[in-house]
Amino acid sequence: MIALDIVPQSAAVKTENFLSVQNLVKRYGDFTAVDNLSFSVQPGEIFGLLGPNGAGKTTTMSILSCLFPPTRGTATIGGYDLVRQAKQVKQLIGVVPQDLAIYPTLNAYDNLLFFGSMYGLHGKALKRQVWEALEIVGLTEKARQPITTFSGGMKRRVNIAAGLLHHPRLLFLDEPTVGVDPQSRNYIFESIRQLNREQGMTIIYSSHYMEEVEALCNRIAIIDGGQLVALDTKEKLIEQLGGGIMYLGLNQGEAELIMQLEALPSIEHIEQIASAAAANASVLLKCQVTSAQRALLEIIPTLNGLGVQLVSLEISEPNLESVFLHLTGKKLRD
Amino acid sequence: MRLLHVTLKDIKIVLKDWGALITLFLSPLLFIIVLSLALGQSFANLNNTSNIQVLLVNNDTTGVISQKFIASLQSTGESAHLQFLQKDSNTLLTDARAQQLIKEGTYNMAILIPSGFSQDITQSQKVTVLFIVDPGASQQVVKPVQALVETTLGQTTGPILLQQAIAKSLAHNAPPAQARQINQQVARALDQPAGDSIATVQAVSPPGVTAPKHPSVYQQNVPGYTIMYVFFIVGTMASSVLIERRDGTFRRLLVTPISKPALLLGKLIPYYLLCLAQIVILFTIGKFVFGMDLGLHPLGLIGITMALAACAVSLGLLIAAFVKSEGQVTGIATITVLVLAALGGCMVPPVFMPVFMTKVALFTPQGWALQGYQDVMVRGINVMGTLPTIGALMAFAVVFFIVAVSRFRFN
Repeated sequence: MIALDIVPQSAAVKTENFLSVQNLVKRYGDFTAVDNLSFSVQPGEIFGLLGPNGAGKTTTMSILSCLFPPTRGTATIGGYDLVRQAKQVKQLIGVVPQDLAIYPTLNAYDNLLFFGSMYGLHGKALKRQVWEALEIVGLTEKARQPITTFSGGMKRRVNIAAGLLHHPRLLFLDEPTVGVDPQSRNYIFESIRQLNREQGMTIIYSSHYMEEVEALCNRIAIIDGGQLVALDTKEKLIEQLGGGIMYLGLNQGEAELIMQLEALPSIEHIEQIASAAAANASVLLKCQVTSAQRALLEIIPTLNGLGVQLVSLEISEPNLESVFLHLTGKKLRD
Repeated sequence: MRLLHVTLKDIKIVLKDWGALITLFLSPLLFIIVLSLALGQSFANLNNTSNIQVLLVNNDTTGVISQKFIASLQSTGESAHLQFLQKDSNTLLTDARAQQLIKEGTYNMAILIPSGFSQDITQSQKVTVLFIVDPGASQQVVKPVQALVETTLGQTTGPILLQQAIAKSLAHNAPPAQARQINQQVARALDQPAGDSIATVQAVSPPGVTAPKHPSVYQQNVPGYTIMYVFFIVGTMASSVLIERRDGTFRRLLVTPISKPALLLGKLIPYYLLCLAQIVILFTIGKFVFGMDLGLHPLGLIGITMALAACAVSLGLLIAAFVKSEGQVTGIATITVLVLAALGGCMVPPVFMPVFMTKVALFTPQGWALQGYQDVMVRGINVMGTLPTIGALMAFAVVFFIVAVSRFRFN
């Protein structure tokens, strides 16, 4: 892979936070797609937007890429207001949309030539940057072949290349690995890391795959129902869970039982929850523990002592998926 | 500059769409060839003024009065666009042959002058001239011809009968010498040619009105089918817009620095150029391959062509603004284009339409375009004379464009 020349942008960055979002709202009639979102992103950061389908990630990215204005709230990119200075913002950003937004009847080279011209590139500079982008995504040898002969992963790579042509300072990647084979996925990840490492490109990466944001992102914003549920580094988010979450299905659950369990050293917090998944269990307890193994050794004797039967047991390892489940009560992927 | 790149991108894409190119260029050419071959004679007959032919069998070959009758018929028939044929394939007609030809449908009418016609008239005997008519012939043609034959027969035999009546009266009432002198004077008077009569009828046209000129088969089919197929661009354009919406390429372009008006114009221009190319190519083939006459002022065709192309792409944008699926594109575009083409006279020539349909045609851009092209090619209108047509087509284009832009969504 080669290093790109960093072309000085005519729009200079004005502030420390490269992206700043304040109370962003987007409504469609009675439906609120983005609900009071506020966050900021530092220059050179890889920032993750993690949430299930329909959480509002794409809508947020669409607003931030000037596709349509917010209902309320403000955002700035490189110090330029999103709504009033959209032209300057568009020159700073690159977008890799969730759809494969390329022309299937043209080849990869012609596609990139066209999209590059949309950013004012022309002549030899345009052609050079097209070949550089093809080099980054590893498609130089197939540049003149029709897109229709490409695999899904290769098409995704062309899709990414089209967002890089003008050397954006901020790149939006909206679920860029959907339907992609593992080899292409790894290639995409490596390309993203390289762009960030060698160019200092700020990247906003949205996905509903926990593994992707865990692997790539410095900080992660968890979004659900258009709202920001949590925002921090991966480590600090997972720390919230301590040693994990245990779900205990019991045949009974008086107050005394819960008090005794709460008193155990490895139990940080207990919450009685209702769940249709608790078959044959009249009580389902959600226990945040410091260590799953130690917690089990303490819980079992306590239950035996009280004559309470353990009907079901589920342990969620501390990861972003369980963080999401813990914070929203829902799974990342249905 | 970005507008130019959007235009070039769409031109590249369209030129790869073989199906669309065949529809836009090859199909109209095939229609022109096939329908011109099929309808060529019909158009030839339109411009042929001696198109009513009546068979004439004279069984009284030596008779003077029958010769006079025939001469009168031919003289009168010339001004009424009638042709009386006494021969078939260089052979004198007989009663049987004439009836056979009518039975076969080759001719619609025949006049049979019986043998002894002149003698019977001279002897004041009743005589019948047969007027044979194909029962399927149009009465609008038969009746006037029958009337003309009856009148001519009356004009021919009337004076003779009058002379006979006067002579008979004089023979009873006047001395022979005086009767002879009077008979000679009467005969001289009755022999005067029609041009010497006191009262004559002269056929004229109203001032400033010339005889209508009809298009040749190519002057109908080339512009007719060209216009029809120009509007097929509507479906191609609408599909293209739908695909860009569906694939998200419009969304991608909207986050680049290109403006929405430039994006829209960049979408229109390639199809406008394609329409122009279509019209130029088909008219060029019409002129140099089929020998189509472009009229006295062919430059008048340019303005109409540019306005027609503008109208077609505006209609394409209008349909693109409303459709949401490929099925809708196919249905709406096809019906719109075919119905408007039919109403506009592109399929059934206006010259064969009833009058009210020719007026309905002017509610369509196709009707205006066809009329405009034929005004130039057939009726000799100059460039200034095409301004009303150009104005009408541009009015359609502007209305389509305004409605389209108000409804158009990139997402």
